[in-house]
Amino acid sequence: MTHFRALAATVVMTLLAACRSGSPPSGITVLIESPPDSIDDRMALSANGQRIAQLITPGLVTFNDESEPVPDLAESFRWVDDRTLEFTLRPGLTFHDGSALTTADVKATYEALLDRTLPSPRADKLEPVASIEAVDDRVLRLHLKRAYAPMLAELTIGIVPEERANDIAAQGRAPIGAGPFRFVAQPDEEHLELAPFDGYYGGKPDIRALHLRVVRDETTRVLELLKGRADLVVNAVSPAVLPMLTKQPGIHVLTRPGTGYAYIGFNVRQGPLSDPRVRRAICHLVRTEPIVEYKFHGLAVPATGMIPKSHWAYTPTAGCRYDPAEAARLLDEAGYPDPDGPGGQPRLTISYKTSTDRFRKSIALVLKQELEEGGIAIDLRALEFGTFFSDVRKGNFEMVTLKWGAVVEPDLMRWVFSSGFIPTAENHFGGLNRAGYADPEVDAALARASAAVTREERKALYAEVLRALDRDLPNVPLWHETSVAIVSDRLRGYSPSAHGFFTPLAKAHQVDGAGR
Amino acid sequence: MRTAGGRFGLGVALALVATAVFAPVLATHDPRAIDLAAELAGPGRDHLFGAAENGVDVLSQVVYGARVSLVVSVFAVLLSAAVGVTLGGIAGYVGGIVDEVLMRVVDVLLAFPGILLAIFITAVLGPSLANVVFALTVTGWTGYARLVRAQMLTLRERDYVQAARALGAKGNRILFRHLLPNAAGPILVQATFAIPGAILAEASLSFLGLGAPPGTPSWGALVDQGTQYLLVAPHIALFPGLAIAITVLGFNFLGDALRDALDPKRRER
Repeated sequence: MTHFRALAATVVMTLLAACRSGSPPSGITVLIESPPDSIDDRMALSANGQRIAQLITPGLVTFNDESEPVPDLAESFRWVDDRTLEFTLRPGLTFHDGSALTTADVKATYEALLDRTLPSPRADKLEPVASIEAVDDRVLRLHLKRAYAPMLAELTIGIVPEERANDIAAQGRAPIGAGPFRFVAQPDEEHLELAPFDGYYGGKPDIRALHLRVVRDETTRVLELLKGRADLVVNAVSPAVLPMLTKQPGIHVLTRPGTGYAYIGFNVRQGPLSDPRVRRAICHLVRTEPIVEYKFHGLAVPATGMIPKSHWAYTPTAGCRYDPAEAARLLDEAGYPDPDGPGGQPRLTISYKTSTDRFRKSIALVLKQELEEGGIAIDLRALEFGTFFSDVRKGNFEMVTLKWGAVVEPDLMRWVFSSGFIPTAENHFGGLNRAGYADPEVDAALARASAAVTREERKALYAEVLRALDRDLPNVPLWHETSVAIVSDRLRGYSPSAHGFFTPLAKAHQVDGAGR
Repeated sequence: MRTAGGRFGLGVALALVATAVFAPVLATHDPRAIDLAAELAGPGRDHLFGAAENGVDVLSQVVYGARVSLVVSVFAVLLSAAVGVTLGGIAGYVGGIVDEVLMRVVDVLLAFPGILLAIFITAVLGPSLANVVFALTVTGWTGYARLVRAQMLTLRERDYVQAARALGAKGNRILFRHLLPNAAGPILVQATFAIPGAILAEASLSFLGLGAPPGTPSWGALVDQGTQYLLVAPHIALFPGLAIAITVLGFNFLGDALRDALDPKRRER
């Protein structure tokens, strides 16, 4: 009987806890899947850290949905010559503390990074800058060491007040910027309170308060949306759940073609995958369309290369269609004949590592089946992300599936495919060319593209690179995932960003009394 | 086995063995076969228990999952029992410093929560069923060691043991002919109770991604998968969850019945 009472008490307590939900808080609640590593834009490496920092501390430029750099705190910018970039700040910019934002603040922000006084992971990106000249309060010139076209893309770094330029402790605790939302409080790692900023150049956002909350479990995130306790979730609900959500009253699923790039990565330095014929055979065995149709419910676009179709640097390439006969021919030619006909012994075995992320693991099982149908046995291992990523960086893999969150500046290809960026012990395994791909022509074209000034010139050089990559296949392009924002009725006018940014919140407005 | 619970438990145990043995006959699909078009499909004619991620058939996964559950739990229990009975027997029979040392080791291991230690071991060694068995053995033998030691301490003072010793029987003979056979009843009961524990532990480890490798049919892994789709495809977690619940309940009933049957005091009533 005692047990029964204890059980009954537990059930009642649980029900009470479930009913405690009450009315939603008076602002807009955004759910994120993991805590930001830092909310100081200069220090944040995680996607959530950067997305939040953008709301508080915008930079001189930002990217539009076509991945073009567009003015943000700057009113305009121009190349004076191929080594000089001139910015004019918007008039009357102010920081959240009420002080004016002038070129002195911009100069101080950049110089703190250039001096290497801050342990910022983004400091390297400003390396091409030789000097910074504040012409007056609103006009600033960047003098570069060499012609460097991708420079604009690096100037998204958040601008902080001059006195905060060297103070990462204060800026990490309670950041000050000139963004649409100002920092209010961060009671713990999992909660962050922001408020709309009256002095924002684009006008005070029409949202009473912004609550950011970490909810790690996907089902819980969905339940929070269904219960009306959350108003926005961006790219953090798996596609299989979206059809159910679209049918819910008061919830809207908004999409925009994304710029992320998912691919099969190879270690081309050794083993069977150092042979481009084996890589091409794998490419001919992979069918991305059924995965896009059934796993993504159409919310992805098959990729032909790293650059998505909507991007200015996109160039169509031949790609490789599904062709098991051609794959078999290539494997025969590469010295991996079928030992006993279809279905028996495999031609070769390849180790394939992926993370333990459920959705990625399920896709890995599909790819494994597709490759095994073509006679390539797959030894699939799902590793905890830290271990997985460490193996990838150290070249301790044969085949992996990975994705780049957002491909915005095509110069990323230089970091990913130039032989100078192969991770080694000397560069502390920091290079991004994890495939170990090396091609002198690609190296040269990428170097020229980063120095070229006109977009036409750059596009032609990137086209050359994309065609070479399509020929050599250091990775197999899979798809570009669509950016998906789930919004409640209380949040109107939210137009999802292609890059998964939260910045559209600045233009959205809160409607009270709407919804369920 | 005269009680309804005992019969139910025996039935469940036999059904589990039969399901594991005849899995290829009972399963309607290849448990790993991918059919993307059927992803998350509800129960129906094509998939009696519905389909899971990648359109994998839930019924076939549950049927083949019985093999994983049975193999892991039986091996883990047999190995734990072998280690525990040997060390417990030695501790109880030899006594003295050997007993002291062995029992302190047991105390140390018991001080750790078992599942936490198992998680640690599988996390270090990597996810595989062999490592799950190893982890469950490392955490599971202590119960047998304590039980057998206690049995030894009481049994070695019994008249028939004293008689054997007086007749000049050696230590080995006394241990294997007199002591262990008389301790067999409680060991069997303990093992029966340990099987559902091992099934739950395997399910928990697979739930955490530390058990069966991806794609291997396992009840725990399937429940883990199901939790993500509870709102759109509750059948994925429901059926393996029921399988775990019924099996664990059945083995617990079986353990109860065995204990009653082997306990002379209860038998007299």
